Amino acid sequence: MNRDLLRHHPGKTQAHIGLVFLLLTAGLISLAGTYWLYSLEPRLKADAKTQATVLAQSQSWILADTLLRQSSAERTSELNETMDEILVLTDPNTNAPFVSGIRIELDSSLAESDDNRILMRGDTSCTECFTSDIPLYSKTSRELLGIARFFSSSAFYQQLRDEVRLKFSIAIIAIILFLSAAWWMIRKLLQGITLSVRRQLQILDTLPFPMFVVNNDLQRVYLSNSNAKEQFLPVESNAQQPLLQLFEDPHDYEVLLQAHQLQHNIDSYECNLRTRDRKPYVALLSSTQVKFPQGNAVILSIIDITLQKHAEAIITKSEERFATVVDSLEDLVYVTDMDTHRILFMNKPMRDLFGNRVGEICWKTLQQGQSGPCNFCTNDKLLHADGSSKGVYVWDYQNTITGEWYTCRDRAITWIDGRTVRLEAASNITQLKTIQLELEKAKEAAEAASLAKSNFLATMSHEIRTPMNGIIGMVKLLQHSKPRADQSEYIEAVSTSSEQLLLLLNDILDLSKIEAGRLELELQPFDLEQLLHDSIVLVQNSAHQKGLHLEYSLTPSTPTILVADKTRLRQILLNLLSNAIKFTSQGHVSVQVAGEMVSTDTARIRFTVVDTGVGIPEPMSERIFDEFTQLDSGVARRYEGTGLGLAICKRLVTAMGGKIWLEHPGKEGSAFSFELVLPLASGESSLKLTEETTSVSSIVPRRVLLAEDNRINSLVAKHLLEQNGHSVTIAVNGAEALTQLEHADYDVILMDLHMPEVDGIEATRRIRSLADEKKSAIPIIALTADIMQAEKEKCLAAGMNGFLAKPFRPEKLEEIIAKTLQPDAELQGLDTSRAQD
Amino acid sequence: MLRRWLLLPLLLIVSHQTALADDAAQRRVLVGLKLFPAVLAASEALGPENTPPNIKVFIVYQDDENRAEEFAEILQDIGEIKGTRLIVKSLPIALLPQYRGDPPFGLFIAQRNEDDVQMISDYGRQHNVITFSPFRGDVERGILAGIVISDRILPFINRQALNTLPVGLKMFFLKVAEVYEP
Repeated sequence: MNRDLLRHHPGKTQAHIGLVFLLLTAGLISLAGTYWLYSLEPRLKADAKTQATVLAQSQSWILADTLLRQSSAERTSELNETMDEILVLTDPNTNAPFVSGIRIELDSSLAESDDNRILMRGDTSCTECFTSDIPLYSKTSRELLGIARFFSSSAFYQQLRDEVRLKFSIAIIAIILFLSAAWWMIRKLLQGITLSVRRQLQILDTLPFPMFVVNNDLQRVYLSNSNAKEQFLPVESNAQQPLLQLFEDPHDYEVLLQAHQLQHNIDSYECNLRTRDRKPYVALLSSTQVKFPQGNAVILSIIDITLQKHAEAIITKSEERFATVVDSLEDLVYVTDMDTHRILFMNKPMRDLFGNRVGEICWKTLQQGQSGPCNFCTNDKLLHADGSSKGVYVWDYQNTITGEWYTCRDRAITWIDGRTVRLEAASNITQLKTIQLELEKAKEAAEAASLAKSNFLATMSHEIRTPMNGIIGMVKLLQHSKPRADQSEYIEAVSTSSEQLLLLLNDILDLSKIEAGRLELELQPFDLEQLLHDSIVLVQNSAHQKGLHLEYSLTPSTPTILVADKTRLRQILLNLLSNAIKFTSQGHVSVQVAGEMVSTDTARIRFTVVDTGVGIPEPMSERIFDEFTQLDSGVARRYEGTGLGLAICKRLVTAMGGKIWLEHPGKEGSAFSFELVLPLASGESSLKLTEETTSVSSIVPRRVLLAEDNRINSLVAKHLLEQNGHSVTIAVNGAEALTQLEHADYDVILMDLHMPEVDGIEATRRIRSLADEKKSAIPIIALTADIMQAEKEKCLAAGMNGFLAKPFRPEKLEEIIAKTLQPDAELQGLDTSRAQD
Repeated sequence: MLRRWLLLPLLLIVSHQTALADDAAQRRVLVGLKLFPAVLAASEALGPENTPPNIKVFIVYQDDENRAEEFAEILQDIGEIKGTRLIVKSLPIALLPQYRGDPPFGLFIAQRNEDDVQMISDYGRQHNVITFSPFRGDVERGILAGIVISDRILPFINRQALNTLPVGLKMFFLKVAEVYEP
């Protein structure tokens, strides 16, 4: 990194200041030593010497007085004594004598010889002592009599010098310590600054973008981080315009230069730069002027936006594509903020219709006369309580002015900035709506037609069943009237034809009910094995007549007490068995039943009816379950049938939630399977099943009131009942039945429903409202050719106790009479849909 | 009038300073007066072999005759030096050049103007007079002897003036004296 900018960086400064402190300390020590040696110590010494001199002078007068003695010996003796006295004087501070020695040189006038001129006491050879020469004058003549040299002790001086030197040294050490502490603090401070600077430099080097620090006129590069060095060519600091080579276009450099000559910062300036690898480099330049100790500088930071620009270009293209697609839609598409209701986006059809309203409140600009959010604000239908999207909310809307219909698909989506917004796409469905309305009308018409057809069929069923009841009844009577052999053959032919006609009638009626969706399943517990047995018994005669072997099998693990519409289930089985017998000339027909538990209370039961008949060719396998479909015309001619049986089977199985199919088509023989998932019967249901399976063992003669307006039917019923020992009274309508009941007692009433004046329902109501409790409680059994469930329910509601569909078999009539007259008998619903099977 | 009152404090200060200086000079004169006989006694002209009957000493002054007389009396009280009678006289400095009598053995300056020092020095050299001035700086100007006062009071001798005397001072005396070497 170019660190020109930091030539005076803290590390060097630290060393410089350390050197200054070292020199300062050394200078201080030298100065202190010099001051001590050349000033303070001599001064102390001079002061000590002065003190010694003053002391010596104070003692000199005593010696001068002694010199005036006449006798030399006396003078000498006295001088010695005086000197001794002086020598014992002691300094209390140092506990040392003031004077170590005294030497007196006498004037020649006082000395007898030169040997006597010098007198000495004490230590006069002391080299460290201060010497003071004191003249000794005569008090009287003022003559100079001698010179006394005092050798004053330097103890006081030495003590004083030591004390001062100690204090001086302490002061110097204290100053040095202070300077050291100051240096230490400054060093720590500088270390901190150095560390901080290093960190800053490291941070600069780790910056993810290139950065230069240049002088204010861009003529000198102070600093560049490693990112800048890696990406760009070396910047020549000594070049005239070192940054110029960075720019692909010199104009960009000029812009930057002019900005800084005017002392303007640049927040962001987009330009193309030249890199080491010569790859395209789009940069966002920013420059900031800063003040450094060495002068102003400019920090030039570079952000690589090449990828961003590339992405922007891609996004722009993407947006263009998006706009092309969205704008080309015929749908009105717009986006609004769910909180502020501001429009965030409108596609072209939307803009064409309303103008560009982006940024405006939707209910103010897209609607008129609204004081708040309108019906188009479907926010509550788009979000769950936790803020998650509910998905698409579709609703239709008709413009009250244009009358055009729109279907609106609203959805909460996440907008580009992260907030949740409402997207609505409104499609013009006026044409579709028109078609839909027409279809609805057509549907209603079709439903009306279907209803009419059903009504027609129900009516026709009733109208056909009524004479059929007469025919079948009369045939039965004839068969019991001991006809001749040829008559019996004719009667049998009539019976067979009437039976086939009834079968055909029932099939058509069933198909009609299924197609009209009016098939109602009567779920009840039943014994599967019993049902199989009964079904086999019903077709057994037919099989035996053709010499076919008929059998059924039930796997041991198959649950047998189940819940289903057993009548319909038996109908399916009988249809399949009848077909199998019909199309099999020799061999056998079998029913195989297998079941498995699919849960704790449901079982999957598969029924397979197998025969050894002609089989069904492959091409027919797909259409075999269609209405009125038989193998071919030849077959149809050979085998009688309407072609409705399998179609009814398929619809019944489907209505029960199962499926039916043809096994291995194309092979000889055929096998039809169907599968149902049936619930297991509970204990209570099983008990009911047991009760229902009771049967009538013997016929008890009863007094029967028969209300029937059809003369033939009343004749048939009357004779059938009378054949079994019952006494029968006939009433032609409900009113007459009431009259008959008032005048006589009856055990049971057989009530036709459709009668003139008072019908069977009304008559029953009136009977149940009679005051006579016995008569009002008389059992009433409905006899009707109308076998619709609704009719049966009407009977129940009116208070009837039993229901028998016409045409009926004589044994069925006896059975229901017997059951109805049993104590605690309730409504006895016999087979209503497949009467006379 | 006001100007006078304003000048009065200044005059008081100046007079006080002058008085202090006079006191110091007075003390130097008195100290010098005590040392002056020792200088005279140190002359080799006075000794056992050469004892004049008397020696004459002048106390010269500027204008304070009374003071000079007092000094002369103090000096006269010594009586004699080394057995030689001492005759002390006071004399105004202004009259010294016109003095035609026998020159004195010694001359003590009790009061002087600085301008007079050279004349007195010259007089001393011309007439072999031991001149003595207690005033600071006079020895350096040529006066033979004076005093130096520091921690001690020592005689102060001008070597050049001393050398002009036909009879010098005793070496014993010079041992203890401060000698000025011009």
